[in-house]
Amino acid sequence: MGQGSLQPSASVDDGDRVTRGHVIISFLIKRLGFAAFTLFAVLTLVFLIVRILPGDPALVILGDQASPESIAALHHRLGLDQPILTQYGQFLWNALRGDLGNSMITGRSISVEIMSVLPYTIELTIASLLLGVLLGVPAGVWAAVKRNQIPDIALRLVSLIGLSLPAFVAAIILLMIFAIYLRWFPVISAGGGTDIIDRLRQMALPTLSLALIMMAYITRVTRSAMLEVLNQDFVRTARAKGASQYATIWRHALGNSLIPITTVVGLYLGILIGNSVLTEIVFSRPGLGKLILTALTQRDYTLLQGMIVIYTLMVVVVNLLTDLTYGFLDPRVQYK
Amino acid sequence: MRDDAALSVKDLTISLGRNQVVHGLSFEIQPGKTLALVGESGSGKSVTSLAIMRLLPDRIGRALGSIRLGKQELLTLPEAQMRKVRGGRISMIFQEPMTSLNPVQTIGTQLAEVIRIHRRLKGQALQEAVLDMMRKVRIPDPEERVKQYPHTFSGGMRQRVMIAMALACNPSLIIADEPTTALDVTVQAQTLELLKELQRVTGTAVLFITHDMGVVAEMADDVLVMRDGREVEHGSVHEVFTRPKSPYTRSLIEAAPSLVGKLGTDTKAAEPVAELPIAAGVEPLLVVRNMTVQFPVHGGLLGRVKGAVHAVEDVSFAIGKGETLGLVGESGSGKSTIGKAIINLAPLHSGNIEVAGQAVDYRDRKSLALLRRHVQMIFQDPFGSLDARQTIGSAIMEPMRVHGLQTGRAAEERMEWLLERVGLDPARASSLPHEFSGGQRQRICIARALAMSPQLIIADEAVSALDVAIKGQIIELMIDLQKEFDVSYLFISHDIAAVERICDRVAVMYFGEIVEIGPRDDVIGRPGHPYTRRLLSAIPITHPDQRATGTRRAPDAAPPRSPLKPLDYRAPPARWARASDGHFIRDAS
Repeated sequence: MGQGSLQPSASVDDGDRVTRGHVIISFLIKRLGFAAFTLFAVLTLVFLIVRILPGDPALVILGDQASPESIAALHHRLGLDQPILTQYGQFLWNALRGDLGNSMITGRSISVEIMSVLPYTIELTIASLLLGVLLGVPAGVWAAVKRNQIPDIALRLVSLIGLSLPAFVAAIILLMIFAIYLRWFPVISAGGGTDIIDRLRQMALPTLSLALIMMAYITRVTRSAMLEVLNQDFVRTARAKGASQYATIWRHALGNSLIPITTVVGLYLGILIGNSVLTEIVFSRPGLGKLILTALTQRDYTLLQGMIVIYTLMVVVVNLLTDLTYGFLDPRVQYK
Repeated sequence: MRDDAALSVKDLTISLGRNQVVHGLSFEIQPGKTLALVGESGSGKSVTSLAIMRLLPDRIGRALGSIRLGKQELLTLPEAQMRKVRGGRISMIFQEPMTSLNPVQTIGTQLAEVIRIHRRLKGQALQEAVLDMMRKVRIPDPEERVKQYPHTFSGGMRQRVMIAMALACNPSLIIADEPTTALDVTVQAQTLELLKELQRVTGTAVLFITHDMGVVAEMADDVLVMRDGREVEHGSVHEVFTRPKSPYTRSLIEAAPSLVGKLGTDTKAAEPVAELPIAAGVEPLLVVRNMTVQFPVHGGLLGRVKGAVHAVEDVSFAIGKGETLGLVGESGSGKSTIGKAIINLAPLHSGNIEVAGQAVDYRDRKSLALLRRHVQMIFQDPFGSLDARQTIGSAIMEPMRVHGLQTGRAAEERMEWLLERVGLDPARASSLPHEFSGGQRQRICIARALAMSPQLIIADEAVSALDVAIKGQIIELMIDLQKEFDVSYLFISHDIAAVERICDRVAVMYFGEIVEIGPRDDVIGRPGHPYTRRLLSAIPITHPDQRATGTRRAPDAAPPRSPLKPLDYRAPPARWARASDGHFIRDAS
């Protein structure tokens, strides 16, 4: 705070007893308000972009040879003949009910289209996140403990490669080695699968290719967070207590490194979702990635519009979860 | 060498990398006794303690010689067995209670860890042992506090937790590394008292590391003075204090405050006065009238202003030309906030400030610019208050240029002249701050403050982070410069010894209010307000002979007063009494 030595550490109980649960709920309400505002802003932006883009959507759908009558009929059907504010109001109201309109090309409901592939993307993202954390955190801890020794240098090199390699390159290399030469995993990950084993085998390569990038980020941030914490006084206290090397590192030091790690995980979850686009294409796996590619190549503006909203929603939810996690990791975090 | 020593160190030599930092150190401690290891920063005292714990930095720290705990040689002990010694037979209390505890574990968990490792207790028995230790170090409401995290504990309470952890397994040796340096004097007095009492009960040997001879006089049986990794003096505490052999030891002993308790309390009753006369006899340079500084506190669902922290409450004082006023008090008393509010670093809620006869208007940019020319500040941390990438010459010339006082060659000449005045070689003007020691950096900060030819310098704990000998030099420098430049000082400090040496008058702060103000000899020598007496009596004694007088100390805790006040709070009017000429005491009731 920087001003006044009297500024009380607000956490010291000043007789004004409010339970932590109470505080979390009020924090949650505030953050949900922010999230709603963010979504509203994105919806507005998306609405405007589609209206500003050159070209009449009716012409795109019907082709150059369409008669004025059919164009007018389509305008009416799409609601484009309404005043712009009415259109906007209708758009917001529909979005609120989960209806993102229909695809300009296929005419199918966008919400249904997205919901049919969303589980695949979420499944892939969560699996790669877990794998990335499970590999990255121990690797980062190991690198920090063996600072400037061979394991550290090797891990830093590996994570540098992971960071520099674009997701689709890693995916193609994995595909070549494990699916084409070794034939351990299927080339095409159609999703679904006949049973759980089959499903996991289909997911393995896409997950790995994303997890490697995630691991690279997490290793680096874990290493630097651990190096900072290992120099702190309470780690010396733990050693002076006679705590084992294991307890000192994993219980005392890692416990205090989790905040920066969580921040990075939250941030890169967004990147992971973005990277999954390319991975899904390389592995011919259903998911948002393939859907967005279709939308782009067919100039399906309404579908794109819907997908932008979905991506925003995911990023907002991830941020909210990250903020809430801080409080569980560090008792000093104040929900404000 | 007797066999029954709890710890005996022989010919201990420690090197870090290629540097040898401790040279052939030998000492021993008998059970139940305390050896004080005294020295300034860099003297090798903390490294010695880490060597005993075998916690020297991996791969670069090396210790040679012999360290024996009882009959066991520690330097050759395998790491697995050494872990049983750490926390079990030797335990440690560190300097920084704020950072020495793990912030994300509860106090209970951290206390339980050491008991679990060494006493192998589990479940209910472990829980009981934890609560038992918390009661022993007198932490109130242990059943409640055990579930709380370190950030909800005050510095003194955290140090009690550290002491509880240190004593939990009945160690034969406790190493206390500057355990009270970061604490306020009254808390220090309570903590030392507690440590002494627990040592008496358990019969543990203590290696007490400190730079403060007052604490040594208070605690030690034997003293070992170190400098640059070598023993300078070694003997019983009485011997060392009465007949110090080395001039270095003598200078350390002389650094302690000398007036405290010498003059005794005035028996003559103070007579009430209608109003506190603000301006002292001389022509006032700075006048502060009814200064109040508040920080709003937000709360509730919508973050409305709930109340305000009253950091400074209706404070009035004046500083004469060429005079030094000391502002003393414990952390949180608002003394630093006063200095900040004067130069607009803290929001002034109400009150008037006059500098050199002109009222300062904090909304007027011209008035503020003038204020900054007249009033300069020196901060506690000379490392943090200089830009690491700016040459010191440029740092000193910058304010002159900003205010358009001097430019080009003239500014350079003045900068060189200033460097000479503060005792630095002008040839080093193009050096960067990291090339200087802490004391030299504080000299640079003083030169920078003087560059503006200010009439008032606010020194906020300006010498508190410096070693004893350097501290003395900087104070001497400040006194010399005051004579030369006729500058006034507002000297903000918790260090009574420093205040005593430099100040003409002293004001005592307590919870945002001045409770006593007057000439130095009166306030420190004949304190009138109960808080001033308590503060001064908490200062460590200057000679071990004073230990016998048990009445000296009144360590009763102050009634806790919350600085957080509701919005409609109005401070009750202060009533003052006059003890002697210029010495005023606030009515305590």
